[in-house]
Amino acid sequence: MNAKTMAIIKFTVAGILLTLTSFWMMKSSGPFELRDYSVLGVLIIIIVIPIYSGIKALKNAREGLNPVDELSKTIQVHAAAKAFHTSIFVWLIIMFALDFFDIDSVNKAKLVVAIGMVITFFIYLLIRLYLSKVGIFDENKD
Amino acid sequence: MKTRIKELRARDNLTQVELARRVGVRRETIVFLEQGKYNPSLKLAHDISKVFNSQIEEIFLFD
Repeated sequence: MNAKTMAIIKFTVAGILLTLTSFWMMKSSGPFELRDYSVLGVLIIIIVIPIYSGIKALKNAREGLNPVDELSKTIQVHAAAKAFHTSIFVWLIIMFALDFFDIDSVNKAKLVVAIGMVITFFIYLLIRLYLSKVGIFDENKD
Repeated sequence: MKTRIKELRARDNLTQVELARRVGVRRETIVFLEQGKYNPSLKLAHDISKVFNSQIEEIFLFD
């Protein structure tokens, strides 16, 4: 996939998310509560990420460079592995944390999975961003 | 690991973008390689050495 196609896909995803968020904001009745602001914050982050990486992909396309190379793939693998490792503990913590709330067991199971996935995804993004800034140091070192 | 990429780039009057384009990677990868923050694959090391007309061990220096 070339850089231009990748950028178009990312902008389309961001556009769809932006439209859905606008619909949600228009449809919601009454003033926003803390929970709504939290959801909005998460949505904004999710929308900004594809726009940012889309702009980067377009910049690479203009310079005739590959948007994905061996370093970006290595960073993705490292971030995914670390996020998966962390997710085991995240799910465990959420499972016990939800005991403090009055939720039936079916909804609790759903919430554990949903919240766990969101947190794991953010951990993955954070690690990816961090490694993109500092690089991957000598992997052959003891 | 240290590299002589920056020095060889200056010798051949190559920009980071130009080198990245020639070996098919992003500019960031060249930046990290120059700073010794990334160990390239054998193929990338080979491609870079071809660009500079040198041996791999002349560009990538291990302590």
